[in-house]
Amino acid sequence: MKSIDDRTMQQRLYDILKMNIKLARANNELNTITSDTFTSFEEATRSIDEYKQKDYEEEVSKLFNTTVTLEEEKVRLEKLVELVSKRIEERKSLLREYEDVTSRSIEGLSSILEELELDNYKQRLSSIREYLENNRNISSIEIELEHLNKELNASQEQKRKDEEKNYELEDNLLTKLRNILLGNEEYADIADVIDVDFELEKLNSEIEESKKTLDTFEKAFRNLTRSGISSDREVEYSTYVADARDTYYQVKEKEILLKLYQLVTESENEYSKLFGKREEIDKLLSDRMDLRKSLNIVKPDILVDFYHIIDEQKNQIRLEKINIDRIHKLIDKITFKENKLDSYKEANQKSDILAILQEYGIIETYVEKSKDEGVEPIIEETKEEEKTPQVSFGDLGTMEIEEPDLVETIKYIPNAIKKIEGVPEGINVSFVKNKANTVMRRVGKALGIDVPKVEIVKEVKKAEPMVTSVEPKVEEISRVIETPKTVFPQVEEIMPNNNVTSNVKVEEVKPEVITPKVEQISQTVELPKMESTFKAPVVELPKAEVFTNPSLEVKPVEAKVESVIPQMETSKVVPFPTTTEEIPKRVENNNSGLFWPEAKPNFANSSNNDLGKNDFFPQTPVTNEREFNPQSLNSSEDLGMPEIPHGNINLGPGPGQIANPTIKIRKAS
Amino acid sequence: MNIELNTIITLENGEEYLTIDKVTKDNIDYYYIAQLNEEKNDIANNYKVVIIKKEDGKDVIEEVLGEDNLKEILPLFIDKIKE
Repeated sequence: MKSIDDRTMQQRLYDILKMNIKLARANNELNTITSDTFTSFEEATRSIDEYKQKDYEEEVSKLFNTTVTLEEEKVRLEKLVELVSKRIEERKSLLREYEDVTSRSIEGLSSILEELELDNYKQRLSSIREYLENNRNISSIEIELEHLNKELNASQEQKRKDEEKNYELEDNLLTKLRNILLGNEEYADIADVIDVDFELEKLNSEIEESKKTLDTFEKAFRNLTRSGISSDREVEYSTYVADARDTYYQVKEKEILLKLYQLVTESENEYSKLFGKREEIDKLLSDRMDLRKSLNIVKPDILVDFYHIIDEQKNQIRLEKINIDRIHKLIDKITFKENKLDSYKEANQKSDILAILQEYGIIETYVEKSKDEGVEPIIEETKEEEKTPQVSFGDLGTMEIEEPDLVETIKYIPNAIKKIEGVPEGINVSFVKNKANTVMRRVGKALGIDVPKVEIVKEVKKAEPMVTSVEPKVEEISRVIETPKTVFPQVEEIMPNNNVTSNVKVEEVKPEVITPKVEQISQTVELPKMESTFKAPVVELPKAEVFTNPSLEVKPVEAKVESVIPQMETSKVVPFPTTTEEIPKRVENNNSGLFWPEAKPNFANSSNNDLGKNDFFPQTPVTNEREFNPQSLNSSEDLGMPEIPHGNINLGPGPGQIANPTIKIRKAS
Repeated sequence: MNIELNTIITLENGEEYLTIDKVTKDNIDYYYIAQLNEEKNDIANNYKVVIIKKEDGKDVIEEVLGEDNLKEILPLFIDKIKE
């Protein structure tokens, strides 16, 4: 016969006695149950619990080993919590059953020691789970951010290329317009205009006069035709009216061309500004078309090529918007991800988690702030390798250091000032300052700060080419406009749209002194010499092309492009005139605007005494605006001055705060 | 620390900056600086508005960042340019 172990025997005894008592109770025969039966049942119960407790203790003892990693600890705690919970439930179940059967309670059972710690185990397990989960999310977000930043860099690189290309577009446009102007005797002098506003003002009276004349002619002609005149007379008088219309159109055309020239000479490379400018040009051209229609102008349109190039470039500029939108989306996405990343990192700063991290040697110490402050503890130092480079001063070898420990205390701080010295030879401080100040103005303008417009003065006479810039003096401006110095206008989000110009709220008022004399300028403005190695641009020769400008809704004009536009066989690089004597000669021989530089010269190493030489630019080449790259906003080259605010990008800490050395877009604080 | 204008600041990381301009606000000196190019004959396309702070006994430049901060400081520089 198979022997039965004591545990089984006790369990059977427990079962049979339990049934015995329960039945007696059900039959109201409890009095038939002897006290021995109750005692036996209690003993069996205690015996069963002891066996279970023994099993439990054996199991639980295995779980009190030391774990090395948090992952191992998590597994250990999961088992421990499960085991302790199960044992507690077992004990409760047994006591409940005993009480149900006997209506008595049983006491003096061995205690489940771990029961007291169960909540702590659970809390610890929860902290470890949270930390590991946070870390998984952090890793995943960091990978995502890496990809997003790569994409952003690529898009920003594309934007930079686009902006470089925009300069070319602007140059081409200017060259085209200059060619058109210089190729038309009537309007050639516009290309030499110094102050367009002044010219426009002068033209106003002429426009009014010719309009009045035209109205008079038209009215008189209408009256005559109504009263009845011979057909011969009618034909004759109608030619008078047509001539008056032509005269009026000519002056209006001059006005439009002046305005166009003014717009085109202001070179833009940033998309939204460029787009805004092109919208203005479109509007001007559209008005011009309306004028031609209303006056029945049939003579060939001199701006056919210009319409064409504007239309062609507009499509290219539009393509940039896709990339710019993408940059905005990427920045938003990166900001969102970084915020998430910060929240996970912040969650890992809880004191419970930090204590566990310290226990597992993931961090060395952490400072737990008093609970009154209600501030989560912060990690004081991590066990990760120090990210700041170790001391590696080249001159340490020559230093006499008595205490070696001292060397270790010298921290390398990348942006610490090592030395201050004078400006090396070869730097033209004046030029450099002009350049830097131009950047300052541009950034100020981008931020909506009231920046005085720089007056551009070009050559006065062909024979005396002179280029310089005149900055309106504060006193002069203040007579015309009131500029509160400390008002910071709200920066509107300048998104590329069809209404860019309508967003401009600040009225630019020209100073009273509009056309300063060249002599005066040369006395007050320091302009460094241009390097003679400067290359003139490759000039795109105007082509006779069929005019198509669907955006302006203009029907194709049957225009013949007259061969008054200078023609060349091929585009070629024309050397920049090196002396002022050369310039007028070239102007006479070549009216294609070849002296307009594609890139502006480097004035370094040049002397201010050479003012007036090589300065045939209609625009003041005192700055190299092309080098200003607002795209570097989030790069290490970032001035910290935003290009255009998009979304809620915080550009970083303020004065007195430590700028994060890593390139990062932070969440709005 | 007061730094003269038109001087070259060399940082520990080797970068060199020309001090273009300086303004003072709330007793803090703000410098407008431009990084020198490698040839040291011109400035590179890197401009900063910075303050000088002490850190571990060293004078350290700290860039002023953030649109709001720049909106406060830039007008002071621009006013100086006007003059």
